[in-house]
Amino acid sequence: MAKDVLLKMEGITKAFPGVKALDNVSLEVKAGTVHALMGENGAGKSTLMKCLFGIYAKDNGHIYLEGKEIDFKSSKEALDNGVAMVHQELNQALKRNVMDNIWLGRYPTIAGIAVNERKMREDTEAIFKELQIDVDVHRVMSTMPVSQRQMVEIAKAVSYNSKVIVFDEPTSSLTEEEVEHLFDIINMLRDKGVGIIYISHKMAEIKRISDEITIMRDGQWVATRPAAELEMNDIIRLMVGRELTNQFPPKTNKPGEVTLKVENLTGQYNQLKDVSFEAHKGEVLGIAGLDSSGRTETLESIFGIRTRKSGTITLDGKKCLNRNAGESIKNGFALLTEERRATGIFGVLSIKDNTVISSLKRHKRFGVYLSEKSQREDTQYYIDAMRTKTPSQDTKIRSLSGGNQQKVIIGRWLLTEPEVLLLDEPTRGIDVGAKYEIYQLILDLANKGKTVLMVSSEMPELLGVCDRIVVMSGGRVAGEVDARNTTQEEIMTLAAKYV
Amino acid sequence: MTNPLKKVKQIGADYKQLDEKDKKQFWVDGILNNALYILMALFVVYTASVKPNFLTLGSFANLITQVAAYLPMALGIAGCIVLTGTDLSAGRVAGLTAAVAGVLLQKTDFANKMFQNLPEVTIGWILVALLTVIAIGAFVGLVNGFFVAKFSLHPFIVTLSTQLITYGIILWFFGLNGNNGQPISGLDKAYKDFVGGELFRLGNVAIPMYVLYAAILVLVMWFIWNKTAFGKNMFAVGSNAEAAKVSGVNVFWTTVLVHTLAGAMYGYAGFVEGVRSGSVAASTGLNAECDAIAACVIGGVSFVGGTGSISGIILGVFVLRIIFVALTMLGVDSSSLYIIKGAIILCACALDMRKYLVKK
Amino acid sequence: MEDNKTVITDDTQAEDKKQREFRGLYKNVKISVKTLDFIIVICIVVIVVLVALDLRNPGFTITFDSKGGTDVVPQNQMYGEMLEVPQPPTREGYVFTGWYLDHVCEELWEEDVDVIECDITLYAGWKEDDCAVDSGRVDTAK
Repeated sequence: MAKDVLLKMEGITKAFPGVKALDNVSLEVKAGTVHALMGENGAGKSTLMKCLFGIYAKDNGHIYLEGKEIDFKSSKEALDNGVAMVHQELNQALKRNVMDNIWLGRYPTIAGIAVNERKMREDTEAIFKELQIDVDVHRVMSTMPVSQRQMVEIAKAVSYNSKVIVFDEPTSSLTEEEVEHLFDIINMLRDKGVGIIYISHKMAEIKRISDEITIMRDGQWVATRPAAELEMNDIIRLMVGRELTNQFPPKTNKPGEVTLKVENLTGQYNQLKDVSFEAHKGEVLGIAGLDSSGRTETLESIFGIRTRKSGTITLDGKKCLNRNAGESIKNGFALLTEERRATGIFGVLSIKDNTVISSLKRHKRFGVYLSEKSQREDTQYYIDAMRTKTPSQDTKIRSLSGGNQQKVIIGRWLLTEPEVLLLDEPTRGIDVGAKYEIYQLILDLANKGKTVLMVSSEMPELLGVCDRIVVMSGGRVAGEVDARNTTQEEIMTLAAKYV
Repeated sequence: MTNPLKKVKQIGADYKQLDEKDKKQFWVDGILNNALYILMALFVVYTASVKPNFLTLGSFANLITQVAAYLPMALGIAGCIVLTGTDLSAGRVAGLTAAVAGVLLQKTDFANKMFQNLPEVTIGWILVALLTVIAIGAFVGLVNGFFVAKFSLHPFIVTLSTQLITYGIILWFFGLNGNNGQPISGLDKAYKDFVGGELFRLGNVAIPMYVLYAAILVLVMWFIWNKTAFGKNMFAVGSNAEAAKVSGVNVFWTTVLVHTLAGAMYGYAGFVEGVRSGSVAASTGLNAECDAIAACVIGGVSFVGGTGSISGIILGVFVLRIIFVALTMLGVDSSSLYIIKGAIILCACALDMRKYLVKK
Repeated sequence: MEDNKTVITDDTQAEDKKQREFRGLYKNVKISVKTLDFIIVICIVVIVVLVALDLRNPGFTITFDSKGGTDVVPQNQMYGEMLEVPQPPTREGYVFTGWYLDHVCEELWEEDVDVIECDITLYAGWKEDDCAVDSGRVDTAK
């Protein structure tokens, strides 16, 4: 069936100093369809959307909405014209209630002065009913789970009578059930004739929900095809521009005897309760679970940057108190945090400073002086060993790509000569090629007899790299599975045990 | 590092490749990013044309002397700025330590001596006094650092409190022994010589001893910033305190030590200030932190945190001093100087922010 | 479940994380470069205008505190110039000993050496007039 083109972006070009972020990209979204936008890191998807919403000024090209040329100067203007975006990172007034958030900045008023609370409530309830969202309109945002807040964001987009809605990674923090609900809503919007742009990296979702798929690579348009014609491997091939044979390196590590014992770990200010498990020498132990199931908290409690109420950690028969990061490092632990930018890198400092910061003791001479030469040697060693791509040791780390930043931080930790590596989402925000290298590195470490604990939200990654997987749910250990003979279904069932 | 001539050539080559619009942007960026340096050049050229004696060796010597006097405080406060903080108590701490040093080192036969039973001023006693005032400064810094680190409060609030407390102590100190708030004068000659004695002559102007001390302080601070674990930790905490905590840096002690070191610097600054102004009044050191903060920001110690260099601070102090020496020679009124100072600080912050935003 | 594999992490994720990066005092800064340029230009203009205004009436004020003696008119001098030595003030029963930088009269202002470098206040130094006491009251005024 032929449908009208609702939004047309034509020959969009945007250059930043030194890079062409978008090069002559075109995109057509038809009314009543879901159009998936895919691409690797830095392919230019978000830059394209930012050009649409006027966050970036495009250098060249035209955008037409229902045949009329438009050029938004801000997302507010876009909203007023019926183009909305549901962000992955929600920007909401958390201390206000649901209604306030939906009508923020355009409260219905009585005589232009008093806010018409009643109209606001009725309108909100009408939209919620239409979308089958079951949320109390008076509830304060901060008391609601992320999934519900996202629903509110969608309701807001609908309340503007939007013709085009952009969904940016909407399912990253939703449970399976919530994803179903979201898809119902998206289908409903599609039936109403709304054009939907859907950005996601989850293949299964894309295949299920989308009508058309546009693939971008390196700021260029690669292909637009009906979703039915594309198989997953085709999509990957188009995105990376090469065939991906193996996603994971061969597993060669041989787990030995038990080294790390965690017993009855209970958190003081978080939901952790009686977490116990063991890890072996030369083993990669996965920790699975939904978001906020306590995976990150477990690692951070072991490392001593979260307060424990009770629980013991034993490494090689020796009790480790691990009261703070410094002590944990001394005891042979290392923690790669989940949010690299927030708690990993020192953005304005050089690669060298980022590498040596945890192992300054190695470079001390005469008690105070730090040897420049030995710092440079160590840094160079890990730049070479990890094949980090950087112009020099003095380059500021924030100018590197995510994968290279991650390698620098892993290098930082390896310099502390750890026995136990706690890796929290080690491949987040890293593109495919670099992911493979990180997996290889993890297995190499296990081969050398280190114990690796790895938290990940990407199930295939856990199944591909780990030996055993501990599944957490609601701050407790829900079960333990052997990675070789388990399925995603089994893990998901365990993960939902205490929710 | 890189050859400056090569760098200029590189910029020239890059420039040729730009199109018309970018060329215009290049000049706008260039002029705005260097606005304060251009302003300085403007004042220098104008002053030199009106006052021929501005470009003499004597006036250069005067400049060096001033820089040496203002540098220690800037070196101290820069550490706080690297931690994304600041220190408003600097001036008052210097005022307090100047007063203490002054009282300890008054002439033995001076009629209005506050404490009669102090020992004779010898080199040993001067060193004792110096250590005492540095300890006092360090103690105030320690208090600052403790509350900044423990309360996770913004340093503005903490150092504002200590500023007031220190001022109260100054006023109380000046009322001791029936002094009744009178300025402390009659400083001993040995003390004056120790700080302000002639190091060597440049033209017909004597370069005082404290220029040498300032140079030593620069070397010490450069070593601390670049060659010690403490320095590395300071930059790490300033750049990303959360990541520093995870990396095993003791954020608490680093914060406390940075403020303590800064306090010690103010203590020394006060020791010099007393001799420089001949007598110490309750208002000594008032607003001195503003000059120091301005110099740091001009010199590229950014409020973003984690960036800055000793050479930048020296440059910042020089630029600020050159502007003020030029303006004083022109005879600009001191009330106007305050407004100009304020405008320069705002301008420096805007420049710092601009550089940060454009890079992003 | 072959096609449930999540293959590509999205760049939007990475970019949104950037927002959370530790940015010191500037983490809440939301200002356009244009506005900053405007502010910079305003600051520079204010400075230059102030200097220009001030240069119409340049110089430093020297005030005299005669400490009980007759008043002395304040002077205005340029940087580096010498004091125009005023008529010494007089005070009954005392002899004028010179102008001092501090009120307790320790630092003498040497009229033929010291130059003006900033706004200053000079204090009169007095010594009790012995001969005036000896020879009965001599009116030194006028």
